[in-house]
Amino acid sequence: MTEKNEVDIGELRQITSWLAAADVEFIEIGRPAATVRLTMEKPPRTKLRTRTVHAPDDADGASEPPIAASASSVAVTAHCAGIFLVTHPARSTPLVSVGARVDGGEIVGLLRIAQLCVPVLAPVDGVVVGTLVAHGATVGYGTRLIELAPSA
Amino acid sequence: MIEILSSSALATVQDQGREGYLRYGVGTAGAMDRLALAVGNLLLGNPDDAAGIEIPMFPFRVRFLADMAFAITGADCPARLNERALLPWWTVQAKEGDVLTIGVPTSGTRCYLTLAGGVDVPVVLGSRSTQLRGQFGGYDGRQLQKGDVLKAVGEGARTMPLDAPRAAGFGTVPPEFTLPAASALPGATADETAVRVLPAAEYECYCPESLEAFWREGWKVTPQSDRYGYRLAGPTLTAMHAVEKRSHGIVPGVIQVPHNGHPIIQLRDAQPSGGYPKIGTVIEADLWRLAQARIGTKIRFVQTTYPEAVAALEELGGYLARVRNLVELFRSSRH
Repeated sequence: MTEKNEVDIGELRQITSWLAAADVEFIEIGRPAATVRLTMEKPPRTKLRTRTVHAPDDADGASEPPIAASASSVAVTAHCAGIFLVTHPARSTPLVSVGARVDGGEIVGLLRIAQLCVPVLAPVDGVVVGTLVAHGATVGYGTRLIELAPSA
Repeated sequence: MIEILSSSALATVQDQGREGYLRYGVGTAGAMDRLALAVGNLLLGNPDDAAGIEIPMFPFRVRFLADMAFAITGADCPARLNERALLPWWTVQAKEGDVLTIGVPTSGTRCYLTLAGGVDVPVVLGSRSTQLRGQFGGYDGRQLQKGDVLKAVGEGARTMPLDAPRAAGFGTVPPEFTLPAASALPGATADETAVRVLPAAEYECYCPESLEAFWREGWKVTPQSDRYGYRLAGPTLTAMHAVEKRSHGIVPGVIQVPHNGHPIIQLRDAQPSGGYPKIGTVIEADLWRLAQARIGTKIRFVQTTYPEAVAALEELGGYLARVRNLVELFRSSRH
């Protein structure tokens, strides 16, 4: 990174390519003297939820657990970077537990981004098979968080 | 529009308060927990001076007569939109006909319901807050009643997409998990509320044992505690000589000691003047903690200094600025 507070165009170009590769739409970079906001122009996303069902390129293949290969399981993935919470900060009971039946669109976890709490939603109706990430773990975009067995 | 379905007493329309009229004898009124109201407004992208509903009695129920985004902040209440459970410090979109039920809080005492745009009541003397003593401002200058219908400012002008993430809403981490409280005191328990206090004008008039007890003891919030002020139970505070004062201006947070020696903390609906001696003042940055202290629990006073009180207020402002920035980023990234 440059020591000056000026914005380096080459650096922005690099960041933009990373954003495109990771399918990230927006980033804000704060420096002491400047704030840079990059917004990726893209066609409106239609089938937002279905992408979470199969994400072959976001996990390293070696550690792919065999359960993920079973045709019936669906991974709930992170739609942004944050700290994964299975329990709301003010509450003592988890939002969902293993074996719980959930509806598509139901909140099954939270991502904490500084002071914000953003919901993690079940993509389909189903039963919670397991939590793949520990409470309090920092996760990136696309991280598989919870495994669901979709209802027939 | 929303319709009040419950007959729960004492719910009022409040904004950040009516500033600048103390000299005319008009109290500030305004939300007891201004931080909770401010965060509710930030979650909705409302102006800072938008009014919400302060709810101190539960359960509280409203029906939405139009599609509308709302937020609940403040006391941690088990809330439901129809049958769906809502998380605390959360904003979500309601549809016409939805019923919101806010249950008895598991912690804290006052819940704030904010509507997109803010509650639409006339601005009187620069504020939408209910002035109960003067019976003006807010909704007809009174508490809300069953059957009252409240509009939101600019209602109908907005159209919100009801996609899945919007329907699930989002929230903030409650501020007590972010903002450091006054340092824990020996012997203080989890349900005690520690607030920072500046010694006030008549502090030196009290016996050393009384001053020592003032800082040492937990002060119980008695049932005679409301928006006007909290009457506290604890050791009797004794002055070294009778303190007689003419009535003078007081502000929310002032701790007065009447002749019986049991302190009163004056709050949002307090009279703007009084003659009782003042032993201390709860700093402005901690008044929101006081607002959520339950009757029967204890309050601890932690001595602070003027520079620390100013720094605490700046910290509160910094917290709200961060929440504002994050909410704006999050909301704009959705479109």
